[in-house]
Amino acid sequence: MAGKRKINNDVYIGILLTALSGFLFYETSKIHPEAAQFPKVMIAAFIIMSVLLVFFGIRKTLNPALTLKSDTLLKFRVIRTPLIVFGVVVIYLALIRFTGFFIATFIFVPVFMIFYGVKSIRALILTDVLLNLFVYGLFVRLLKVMLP
Amino acid sequence: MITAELLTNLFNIETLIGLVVGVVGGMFIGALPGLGATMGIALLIPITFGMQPTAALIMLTALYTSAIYGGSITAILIHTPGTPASAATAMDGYALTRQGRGLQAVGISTFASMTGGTLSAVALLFIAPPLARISLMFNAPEYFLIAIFGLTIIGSLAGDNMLKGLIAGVAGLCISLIGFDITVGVARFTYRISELESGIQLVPALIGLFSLSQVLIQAENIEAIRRGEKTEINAKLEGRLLPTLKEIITALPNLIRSSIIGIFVGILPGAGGDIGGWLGYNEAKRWSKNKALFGKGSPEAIWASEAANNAVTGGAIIPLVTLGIPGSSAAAVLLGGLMIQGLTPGHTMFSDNANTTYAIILGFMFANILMGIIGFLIARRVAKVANAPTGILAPVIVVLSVVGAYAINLSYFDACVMAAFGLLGYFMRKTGFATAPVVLAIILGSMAEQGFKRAILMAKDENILAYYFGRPICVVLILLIILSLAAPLGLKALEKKMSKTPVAGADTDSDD
Repeated sequence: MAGKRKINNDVYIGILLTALSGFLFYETSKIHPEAAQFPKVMIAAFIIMSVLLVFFGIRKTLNPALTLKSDTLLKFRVIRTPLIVFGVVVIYLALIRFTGFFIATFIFVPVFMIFYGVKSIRALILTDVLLNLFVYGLFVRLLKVMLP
Repeated sequence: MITAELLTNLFNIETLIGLVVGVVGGMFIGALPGLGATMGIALLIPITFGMQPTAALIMLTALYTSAIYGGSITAILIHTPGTPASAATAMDGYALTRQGRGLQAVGISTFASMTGGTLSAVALLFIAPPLARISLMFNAPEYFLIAIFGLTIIGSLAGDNMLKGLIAGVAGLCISLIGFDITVGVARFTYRISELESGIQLVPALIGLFSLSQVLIQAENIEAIRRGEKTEINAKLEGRLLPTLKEIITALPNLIRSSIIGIFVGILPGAGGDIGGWLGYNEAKRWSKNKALFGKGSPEAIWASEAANNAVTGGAIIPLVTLGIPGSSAAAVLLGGLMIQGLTPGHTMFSDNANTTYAIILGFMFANILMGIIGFLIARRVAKVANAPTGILAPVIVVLSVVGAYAINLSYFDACVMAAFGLLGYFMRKTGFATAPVVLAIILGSMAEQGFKRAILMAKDENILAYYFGRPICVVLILLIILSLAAPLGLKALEKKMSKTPVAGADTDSDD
């Protein structure tokens, strides 16, 4: 007996995008009719393409030979670390809000480097100091950007 | 015509610094596997905000051409093309390195890249102005179709799934809808968030999509990074770097033919440096007396692929400055840089802004020459950056992305938008959606909407379809859109046919 058939990722993505585009189409009803004219056309195209994605996803599920390399890249095992990295970036952004840019960056850079496995104290200090100096010199002094 | 203003635009300290930064920075970014011209331009755009348009765009275009060349150095010395455009070079370049002739291969690559890039700048100088005059005949319906055409082009760069490329484009158009509708003056999709009333800003979005998403992609290999795995550069770089006059004269027909191929491929919608490189390689092989040597260390192959892939850069800028249609992902980001400087592609680039535009084109030409000179001087050192630890590069990219996104409008919200687009870009790339169509759609969104609305007004009581088909340029544009949608299938078959030999370690993460 054949094993359990694996549903192609495009089916899930297509359903998600159809729901999202359907919601956006509904939202256009709340906008002034003239301002909603172009969005309605674009979102309708979005809905049609999302439904097509579901259709092609089902076709790939039924005939796995049609599966493309790009359909197979999303696996939790693979995306787990990038999600943690993204979490660290979000914490860095939050830290900027509370401590200001330079203090947050001074903390973030070595933490991020250690997470990536950098052990050299010299590399940690040099990267941290030089990067902060570079940003200060270029953005604050030269381009007159007021960093938070 | 050369005017005093043009010369002042070109020869000032800011422009010269921009030129050197673009050339050297591009070389190093191109040499780093995983990073490429697109990401480099995205990261540099915030810095250009306070610069003169000429200096800013010379820096960005210099980075574009130089990154393509930088990718070839690592392709030759460690068999890892920094950008996909150097994949064809990797085969014969690395074969020469293994024969102890790595420096000779780098020298050929440098001279060929410089020649291809410079000839493409000459083509840009002579082809762009007459082409730009066509845009004088455009009105609202044509601008709407041009915007759609632009989207289909980037859709054709969508990897192995055309539908997903188009969805990315339409999603980008939907993002461009966020904010105030200027004709009626009402907010759309803002959900009472005041920062959204001015819409999603282009620069934070593109930095997130190209730079932060790349950091997340590289984080997948964190275990290997922690173990400190890296490719050792061939330490014994022997041989002669500078090609002899005899070698150059012998290679001249190959150089010119490959450059013309590259320029033509660059102008073609949807075909980038990778296809240019392979096409140049293929033609060189067809004309060569030593066909058997191709793939085993043929200098002819390197002359061809390197001239062609750099010639693509100038070619891709031609439709960009004349019609606002980018020929590659990097050119799409370049379009953002152009618009941030207040320059609108079309005939005004060669009339109202002629001094700036010609200065940029001449600057691009100088950039290619300077790239060759600097390349001969520092190629050995550039190759070593491929060993730069990701553990150092990643935090640098994140910090520069945050500062760049913030600096445009001094907005913390923009930095958050950048992060959100970084995550979006990462998931798009993991699910087979190209990120370039989103950026292009954000740029072209308002042009498409204005064209769409004004065309309806212009059609009055006439059927809108009949109105479009009654305008000859619209018919041509509709045919081009259909052709652009169909072309990727042919191009993919061509690429598949020509790149039968896979290149180990080829960098497929880069968008260039």
